[in-house]
Amino acid sequence: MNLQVVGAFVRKELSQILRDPRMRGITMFMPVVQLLLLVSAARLDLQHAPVAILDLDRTSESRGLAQRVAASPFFEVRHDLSSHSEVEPLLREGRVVAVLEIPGDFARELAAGRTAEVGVILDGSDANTAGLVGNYLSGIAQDMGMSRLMVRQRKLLGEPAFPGVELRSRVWFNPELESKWFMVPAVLAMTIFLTTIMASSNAIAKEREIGTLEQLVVTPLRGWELAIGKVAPYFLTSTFVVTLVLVSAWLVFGVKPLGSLLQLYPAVWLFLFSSLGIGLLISTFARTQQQAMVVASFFMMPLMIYLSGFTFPIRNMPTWLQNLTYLIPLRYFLVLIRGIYLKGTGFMDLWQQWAMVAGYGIGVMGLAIWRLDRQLR
Amino acid sequence: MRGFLRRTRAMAVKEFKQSFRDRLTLAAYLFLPVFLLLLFGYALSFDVEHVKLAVWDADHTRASRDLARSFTSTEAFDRVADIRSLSQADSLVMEGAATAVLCIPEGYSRDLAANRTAQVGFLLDGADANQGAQALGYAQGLVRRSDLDIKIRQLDRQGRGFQAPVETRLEVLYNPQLETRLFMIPGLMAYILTITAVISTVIAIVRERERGNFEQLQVSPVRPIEIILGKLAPYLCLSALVAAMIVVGSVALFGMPLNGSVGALVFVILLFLVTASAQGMFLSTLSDRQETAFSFAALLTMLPSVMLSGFIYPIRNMPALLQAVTWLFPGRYLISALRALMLRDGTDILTIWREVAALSAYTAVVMFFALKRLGRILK
Repeated sequence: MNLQVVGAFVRKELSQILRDPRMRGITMFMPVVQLLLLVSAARLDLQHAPVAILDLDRTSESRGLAQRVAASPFFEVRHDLSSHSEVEPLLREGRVVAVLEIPGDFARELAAGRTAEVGVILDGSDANTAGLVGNYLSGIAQDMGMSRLMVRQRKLLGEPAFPGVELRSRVWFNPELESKWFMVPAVLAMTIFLTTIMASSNAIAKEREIGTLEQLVVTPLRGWELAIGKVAPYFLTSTFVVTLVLVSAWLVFGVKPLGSLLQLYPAVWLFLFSSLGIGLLISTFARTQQQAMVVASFFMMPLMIYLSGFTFPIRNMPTWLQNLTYLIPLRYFLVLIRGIYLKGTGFMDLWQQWAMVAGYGIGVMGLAIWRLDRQLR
Repeated sequence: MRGFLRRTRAMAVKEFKQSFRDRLTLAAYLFLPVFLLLLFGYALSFDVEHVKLAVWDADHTRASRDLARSFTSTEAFDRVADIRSLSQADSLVMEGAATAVLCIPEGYSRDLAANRTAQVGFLLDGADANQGAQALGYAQGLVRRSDLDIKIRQLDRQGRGFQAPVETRLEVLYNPQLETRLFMIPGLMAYILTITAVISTVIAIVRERERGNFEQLQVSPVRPIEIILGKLAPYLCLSALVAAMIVVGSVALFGMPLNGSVGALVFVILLFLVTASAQGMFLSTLSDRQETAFSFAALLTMLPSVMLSGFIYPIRNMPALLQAVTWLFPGRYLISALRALMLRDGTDILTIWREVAALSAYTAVVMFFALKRLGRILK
């Protein structure tokens, strides 16, 4: 290996990437922008869901129930309805997710010791939200009934106490269940993956399209030296990006990795072998930049985004698909970086993920270099 | 006018031939919708299912076993281990072998018998905040149910012919089975169309810029607007085909209802394609290098149209500032319009006038700047 030649080639590639101020902006600062935007976007739990209340009873009991709903952090009572005909338009236009219907005999039934039936009309088009809203509204109504009953039974029987059970929960690693903890390492992994796979899939295709690949063939560069030149700059830029993301996550969101940076950076470098390797491999197949970019973005990215466990938990997938996810390097890397970042998990606990990320990277990079070498000969 | 049509058509015909000669690219464009439709229809779900639960039952009574069973008889939790100590719980969670631990302390049934409120512990790995929050909500619901049952049984024992004071009757409109995939298909449509339409437009225009072909076109009698329209035509047709594939596929395979007005559905999809093309045209003025323009386009469409459009994560859950940012990504208008038109009965163009107005205004603004900048480049 001619160090001088490879060194010169790496320098040339690096300055080519950084020359274009727009490209510089994309590789360096776009990940930070993405981080800032996406980290607080991902929440599936129920917050301030708009609901309407149709109170046909208008008694202190029915108002008590309405107040309990209004006081809940999960709901925001937007409309106070007085007739059935108002329900459907609100739901149809998506202005509320549910309507709580308190029947006209609510207070009477309660007073008589019978079961009062409260209606919950849900907009099922957002299935996840509708499920949660149904559960929480039922819970509020039952709680209200139960506490009234307790009071009455105590008056009647003088029974001092009732048996019961309550849940004391404790959440590890992320006590407030804030999505930022979860999202920072995920967005970090995602943006590194997206930027590097795009850049490297273009690398050889561009030379081929412009016609400079022939010129490279007559230089003393070998295939693997060419590959080093093409990918080495991204190790530098990605290290910079990771640092920038970590620092801005710390400054803006106040989160920082629980684990050691001595594990975090090597994990990123190892993973770059996979993402850059996949990109280079695409590049050796593509004849034009268009092909390279379309294949990268239409084949590879959706596969990686949806099957890596980034947004959809892998354990919810059918078995055949779970098996398919073993082919996705991002899967291992996400477990690895979440473990290091969120839990400070030690090397030994995650050695399988380390091994898979390393093995995958070496394998796919080796394949890409082998193909490049043949093409340059 | 006739010359305009003739030249535009000539451009379009040439562009059709040129772009679809590349079979690999065409295959990639068509692979995306088919693959994602099947994936979302059959395989992906963010419901809380099969959370790995370890149970630490220190009480060993019928009451404690009942409580544990109420957790594991649901789809939400899978009992993966029975443990005897806190340190065991610790290591299971650390390794990721368990996501939650239910701890029923010794004396649980004694507390109940003595009319006291027993406490049970629930430890949760909060690393995945979304799944965690949902699992926690689920656990709280289950325990509340048990609490209610226990109280009812006690009252029953006092022989008062007891009835639950309040029951709720749930009525689910539009998607009675609460199928998540019906919720996600509109989002999927917006995601695929954003990627296809924006990226194909960017590539089509910037490729010519990078190769310097626009200089040659300038000396031809074809005018700039005709060049642009001709270049966009094949990709607009392709995107419309993709949209039709998704609608037909989701109706045929997953029973997606088309409850609203079909005319309005077609209209809003076509409107969105124009919006996406305008976006693509604008992005293609930002750089004359394919790589740079493409990176811009990919980064501005790939993740934002998943994360900031209401596709998966409800926009109302986002902080106010971020909610304002989502106005910049037109996918959100299409998604809420599609949800209304496909799922809810009796919807028509009037129901979604806000979305249509927003899309039209957005398109007008972006198109104005895109044409202005393109005009300058082509002159």
